[in-house]
Amino acid sequence: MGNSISLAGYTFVVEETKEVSGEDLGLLQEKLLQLNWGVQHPASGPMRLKVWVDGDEVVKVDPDIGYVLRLLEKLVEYRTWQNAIVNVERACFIDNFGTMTGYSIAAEKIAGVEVPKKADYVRTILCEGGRIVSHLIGLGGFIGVLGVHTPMQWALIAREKFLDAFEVYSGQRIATASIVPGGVRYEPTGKFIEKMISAVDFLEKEFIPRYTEVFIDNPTLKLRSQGIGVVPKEKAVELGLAGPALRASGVASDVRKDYPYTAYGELDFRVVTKEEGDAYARYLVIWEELIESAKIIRQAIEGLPEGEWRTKFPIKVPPGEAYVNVEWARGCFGFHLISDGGTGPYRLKMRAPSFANLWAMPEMMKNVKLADVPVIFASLYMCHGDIDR
Amino acid sequence: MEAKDALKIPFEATKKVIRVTKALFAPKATEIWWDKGIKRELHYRGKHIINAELCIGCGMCSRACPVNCIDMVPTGVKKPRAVPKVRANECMFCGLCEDACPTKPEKAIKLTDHYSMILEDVTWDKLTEYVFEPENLEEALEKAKKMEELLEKKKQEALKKKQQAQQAKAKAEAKKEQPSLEKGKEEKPQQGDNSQKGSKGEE
Repeated sequence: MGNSISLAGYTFVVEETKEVSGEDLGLLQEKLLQLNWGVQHPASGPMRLKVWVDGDEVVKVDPDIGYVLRLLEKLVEYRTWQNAIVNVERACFIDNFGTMTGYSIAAEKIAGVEVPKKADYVRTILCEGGRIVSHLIGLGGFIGVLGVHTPMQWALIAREKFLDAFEVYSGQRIATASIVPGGVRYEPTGKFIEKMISAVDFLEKEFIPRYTEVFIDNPTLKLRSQGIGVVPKEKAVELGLAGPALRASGVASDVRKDYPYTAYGELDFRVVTKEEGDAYARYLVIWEELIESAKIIRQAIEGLPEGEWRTKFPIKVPPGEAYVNVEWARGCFGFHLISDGGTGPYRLKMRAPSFANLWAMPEMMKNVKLADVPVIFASLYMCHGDIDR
Repeated sequence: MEAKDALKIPFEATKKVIRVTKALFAPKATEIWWDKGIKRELHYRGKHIINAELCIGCGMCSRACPVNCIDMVPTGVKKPRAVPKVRANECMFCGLCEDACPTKPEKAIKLTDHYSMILEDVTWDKLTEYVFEPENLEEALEKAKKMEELLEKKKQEALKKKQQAQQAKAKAEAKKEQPSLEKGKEEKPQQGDNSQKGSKGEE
């Protein structure tokens, strides 16, 4: 099974003997066929699934990752406390605010810095904006793999309004680099709030009704996705699923609710769960979270307090460790940050939700039809930048 | 409602006619956008502007840069010992140099809303040569040199005064020694006067 790194030293041992040895060899040559789903497949992204099929049935799936490895964790060690955010946000820049918030909270924990309340609220607004942007692409992508590309275009129109708001706030649309240890970098001006409200208005009044009408209770969509890739509650916990995929199996796990960070403790929202645990349930969870996020943004804008938005963060941070979980768009994102008393992080370990979902996928893809592979793959809502880091 | 709609029809029709005629006589389907001077929104992070007069040469921007694209170029004068030079090809426009700049109230290094950075006949050499340098560097250097000259003049004047004062002191002491032999009680106030003169010369 795949590659494994031996613990002693850094020698790489490749074990690929199992599939083509002994009695199985004849079977493999006669019946089983290995297909490469990806790297050039339009739905797979920069990653490859080795799919063994027996006729039309999938026997085994082995993900082959590493095409977008950027060594982000190592690069952070060469940065200062402030400018490490540019590497952290590139874990997946579709929702870059969540990762920056997690890293900043971890750094503040070690340094013992308390963030002003206004910064907490701005972080909440930005995080939810990032979640909406990410979920919109997730929705469009899920129907995109089924062969319909209209919802992706609709989702991109709604996403554009949020990107405009981010540009007014920070000066860039995607790689914003706007949340630093010690607060947020820019003042939330009136124009930013205006743009954010207009974006949420567009989402709630134009996008959601139109999308609900066509792509939510859609019979064709249900035929393709209902009862496919079913994960029961116990198995979801056992496999270590994260984010919307876990909530679709009936586990009400949400870091925002369980261990509130930034301003989530003061806001009123519900955790979306579904009982079915199939691909359609995962799609619906993403959809309902989108609506919930829009409400959170409205609440946070109403409750935005006056005052400072950034405090001074020391250049040298005392030695210490911190582990922080944040509810990122794709699930629980963990940051283990270690300081040795220098001007920058000594080590940063990122626990990524997409990586957890990816290794649960081969279990779910046993004995399904080949045509269901893209549906299950897209319903798990993974980001390749996040898998490889 | 119907009456209002009916009123709107001629307006919209004329609008459409104007749009179509414009499109008919327009030379190209695509527009050249970069010389139109489009204003970006607040906080846009574009081309750098470096003010050499404000710069104190501390090098904080160079340290804050995550991609190490800011070099500190030595100037030869004392006040801004070095000024930043941004290698534009490597810059990622995060704006952390602007945050790190300690000058108040105006920052010496700033990101403006200029986003058009077009090079013609782009080769690797040209890209590596493309840098953002301080705009008013020569003026600032001249000013700094003048300031240095002024300071040196003042120093020399001060030195001269000091020397004169010392000479005067020495003379006064030499004079005092003779009367002091006669009147020992008047020594102290006279010495105090001399020391005051000396301190003025130092200033």
